[in-house]
Amino acid sequence: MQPLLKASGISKQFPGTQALDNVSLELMPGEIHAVIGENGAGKSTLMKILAGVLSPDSGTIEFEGKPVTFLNPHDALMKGIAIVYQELSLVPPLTVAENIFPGRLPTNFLGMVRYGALFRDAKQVLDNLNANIDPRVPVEMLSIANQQLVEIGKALSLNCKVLILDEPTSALTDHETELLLKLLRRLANEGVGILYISHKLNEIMSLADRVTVLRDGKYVGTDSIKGVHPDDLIRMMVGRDLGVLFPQKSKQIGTPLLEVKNVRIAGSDAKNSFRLYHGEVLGLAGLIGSGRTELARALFGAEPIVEGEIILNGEEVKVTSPKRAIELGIGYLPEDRKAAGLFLEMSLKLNVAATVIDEVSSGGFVVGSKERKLAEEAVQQLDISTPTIEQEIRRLSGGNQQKALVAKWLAIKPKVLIVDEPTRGIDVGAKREIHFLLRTLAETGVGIIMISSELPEVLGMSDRILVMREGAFVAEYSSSEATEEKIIRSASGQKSE
Amino acid sequence: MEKATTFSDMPPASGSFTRGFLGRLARQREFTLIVMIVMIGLALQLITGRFFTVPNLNAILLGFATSAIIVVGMTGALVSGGFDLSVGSVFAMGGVTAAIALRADVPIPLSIILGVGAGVLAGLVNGLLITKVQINPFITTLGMMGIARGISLAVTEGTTLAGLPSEFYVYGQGKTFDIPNLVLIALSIVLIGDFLMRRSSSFRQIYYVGGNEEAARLSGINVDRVKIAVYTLSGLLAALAGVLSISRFTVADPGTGMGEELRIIAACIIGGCSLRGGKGTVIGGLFGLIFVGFINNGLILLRVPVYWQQLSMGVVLLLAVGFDTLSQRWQLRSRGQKAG
Amino acid sequence: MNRRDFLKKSSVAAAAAMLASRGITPGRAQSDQTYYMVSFLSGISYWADAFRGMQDAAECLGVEAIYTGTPEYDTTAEVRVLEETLGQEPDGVLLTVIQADALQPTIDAAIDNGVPLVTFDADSPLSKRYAFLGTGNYYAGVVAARYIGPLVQSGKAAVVTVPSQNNLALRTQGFIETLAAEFPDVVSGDAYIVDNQNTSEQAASGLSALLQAEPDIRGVFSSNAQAAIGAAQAIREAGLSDQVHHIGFDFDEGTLDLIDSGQLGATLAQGTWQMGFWGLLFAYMVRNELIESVSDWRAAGISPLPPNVDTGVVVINQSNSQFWRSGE
Repeated sequence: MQPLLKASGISKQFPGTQALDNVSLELMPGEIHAVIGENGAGKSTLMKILAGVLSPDSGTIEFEGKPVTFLNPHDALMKGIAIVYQELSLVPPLTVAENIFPGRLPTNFLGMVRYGALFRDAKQVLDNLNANIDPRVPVEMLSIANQQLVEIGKALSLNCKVLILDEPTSALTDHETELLLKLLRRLANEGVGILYISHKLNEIMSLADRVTVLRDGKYVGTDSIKGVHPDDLIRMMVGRDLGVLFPQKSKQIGTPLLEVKNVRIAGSDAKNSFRLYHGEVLGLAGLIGSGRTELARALFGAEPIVEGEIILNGEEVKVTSPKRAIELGIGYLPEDRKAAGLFLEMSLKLNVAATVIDEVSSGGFVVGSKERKLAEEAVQQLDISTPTIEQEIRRLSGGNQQKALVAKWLAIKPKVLIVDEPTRGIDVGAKREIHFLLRTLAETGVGIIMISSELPEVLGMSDRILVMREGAFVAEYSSSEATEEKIIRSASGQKSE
Repeated sequence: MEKATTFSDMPPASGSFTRGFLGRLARQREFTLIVMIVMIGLALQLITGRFFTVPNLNAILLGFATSAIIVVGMTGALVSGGFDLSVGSVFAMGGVTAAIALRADVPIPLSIILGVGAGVLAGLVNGLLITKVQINPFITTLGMMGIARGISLAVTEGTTLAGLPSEFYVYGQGKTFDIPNLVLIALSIVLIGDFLMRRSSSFRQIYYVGGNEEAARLSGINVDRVKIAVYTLSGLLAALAGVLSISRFTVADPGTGMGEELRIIAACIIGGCSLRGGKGTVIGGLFGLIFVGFINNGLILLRVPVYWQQLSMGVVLLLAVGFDTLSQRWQLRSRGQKAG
Repeated sequence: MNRRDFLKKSSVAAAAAMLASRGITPGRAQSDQTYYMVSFLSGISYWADAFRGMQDAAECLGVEAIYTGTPEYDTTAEVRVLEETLGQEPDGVLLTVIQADALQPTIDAAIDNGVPLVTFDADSPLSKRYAFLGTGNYYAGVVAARYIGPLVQSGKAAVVTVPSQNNLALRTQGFIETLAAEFPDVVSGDAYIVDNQNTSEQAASGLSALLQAEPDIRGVFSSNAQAAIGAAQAIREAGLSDQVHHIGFDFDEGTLDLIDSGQLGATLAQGTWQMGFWGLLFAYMVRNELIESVSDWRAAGISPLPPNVDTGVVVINQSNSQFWRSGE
């Protein structure tokens, strides 16, 4: 059979970086082809080339057997190749229908949009995806999952034969992910070729037909999913044996560090109590919206606590503001890295020093050498890959950004560190490093509360797991008794059989 | 894998110093501005032969001395992610308040304090409304722009106030070592302001607040307090500039400073501030002012007809900022960035 | 008695005599009548003198004078204020016009509704207003040129103004054309215009630069109050106070102080008090049916009042400035 899309010998150089070096890729009709690699491996660059966003320095692209060049993304789209980005490219205030048919709205002889026809056409596209979305509502009112469906609908309405998806499930719940994967499978059966970028190996294992691994801009290999083990893929991706993804758990848990008694936060009726011990990693599991983040922010002083007590090292404390929390030695790594964690346009150095401005100062003035030392130590300790500490943080990869955020909290020398989705959207190597780092930190006596929606992570990291549902704790498991199934049942409120 | 950032146009042999220090310097808006300012100065000197003369430079410096003081406060407001539209009106109100006090035989130092105090009050109200009532800076300071102007007009019934004690003129008209006192005062405030913005741990917080307000809050920074301080300082400096201005012109005009806010914001943006906050230096704003001042002066020295001056000014401004923005983008693109 | 008081008293006396001859006793007649003055940029001091004139006339006639207007330089705002004023059913309106065409419909409506309306300082010439009292701007420039010309004799003369503002452009034109016609040894023209953008700071920077570029400037005409303050300072800072003759425009206490201290040679005073005083009298005359130029002017379709009154400008300098000081 003739490949639908064939890229051969693609190279792309940015000054100082060989982004892609002689990479080849074949996509058959009806195939789901996963492309994996660590952040910076060149996956996105390759996809951008295939979608006409970038042009390659050398190499050829053949589409349905004929060589093609794309002038721009629109050109590629018109020729039948669509890309759905991690950051969606919809226009939030416009309706679903207008987003599906931008620039080709049906009009009457006066040039006025025929909304009836528009909504009908859109409905048909969405029905074809089994998506229960009203084409008349503004896109900004949809969940991320439904927005993604709109993007896919937009691509399919153009009769696209190749669909490129970049990390489509990173913001989806498990259920939404399941639905999406089912849809992709169906589209593939209808003959669409799908290029699928993801960090989630279990997703790839269950979805893809073949997988291509890239590393440092180079082609490592392509394998059929059948007969490949996830560990092999990890080895191909990182170029070395990673060993285990999770560190050894703590052998013994220390004395109580933090005691939360009947704490109720604004907008919730639930009163929650729990203890955190020195040296413990306490996992907080639950569905998205179960109130984990709200509780974490309240313990950090970022949301008001209506009633209840917080006892830290035997003394009752009032955490009235993040500033106070930091003084008490409580740190909080927020879940949304870009919106709440990073100062994107500022340097790595300034990001790391944000929590400890006073510590790197003397007599009211910032001491440059102290600030640099702090950042340089962070780079070394956390193995942050950056040209200099003056690099704008937005230019670093997600994993390195996340490490810088961790460094910022290490700088306060925390007693309690709350981490909210600490490894979301980062590659497996960085993930592993952060896991080991948190464990090392715990071993020095720090208590760590870890919120995570990835069950393997919760199970792999936690010494103890608390499950939340609708703002309240509903279950507690020790590390040895916890299983994915038990946690899912507790989190979703299903009775065990 | 993030590879080390290098400049394609610099040979690798140039070493880490060039890449580090000069590289960073070249990327700064200030550097581009200095180059442009020097070039304009030299060109004007060559063409007219009258540019680098003591009286001309004196005139230029006096021309933007009071504006430079306001730039310091505006830089703070812009870096914090807002801006202050009330500076022109507060400038007038500060001068009018001091003039009324002086005419009532209030001692000169106390009169100055009263004038500056009017600005502090206006700035404090701005800050409180922006933080505690959560009205956005545009509406808040636009409202204050009307209020401060209205107060100035109401208390003077619109008339200019003169008859100030002659000892008061020393600030605006006196000279020390042949340099106008006004220029010395403005320069000191700018240098102190620049130093504080760069080095002081309290002022450092402004950059964090402007860089990402939520992240700043979660990093333990008292965002409200920073913003209140920023607007108070902006009001203080605008009023101080107003007090110095009446010392120069010997007359307090309640209508003075109209449109000043836009000229100041433009200078700051030319100097590298971002309307989105988190970026900018006081020195950059000063260079922006000098740049605009040089061009204004140059257009007259070059005997450009008055009807063409505004047009030329607009074109030159857009060219300068446009060129700078584009060159930064080119630099960025050529450095490239590999996302994974 | 200073000159201003004299002017005022003689005007009041003339008005009183006229009213008496018509059988009306000033001070108590028509005390329930209300007249409005409507302006734009209502906060500026310039209007204060016009309103003072109006108040003086009101006192003499025993009617009420109310000052209103929009604080902004905003055409629609002034139209709105005028409409609101007409809603109060005034007995007469003195209006200064921000934009002739924009205000015309409202002015015409007022006249049609029987409200006596006269314009002052700035006119809407095509409207049905009964009269306009104001300064001939071109002629004001002529007066400035005839002051500067003999002082400079030979040399160059600059104008500090706002070229985009029509009334100021007329003053500039009158100045430049009169110099060219009557004082050929004084060089001026478009190349000697500085745009002060209505601020004293810009006036100072702009004139400073021009004094560098053209060192033999010997005369300066500032066509607005801010220009005068800034230009005076620029001349002083350039150390040219003894060589450059400077005449400003308009006056208030600050300008008078500049004149007395020698920083400003002279200024041109408009007859703003006259506009207010005679403006109210005009409106009052029509309102109270005192005009009998013909048997029935309404039926005849003619204006009851002199349609254009030039209230003139006068030169204020050190020798006469004390007469413009308010009587403290």
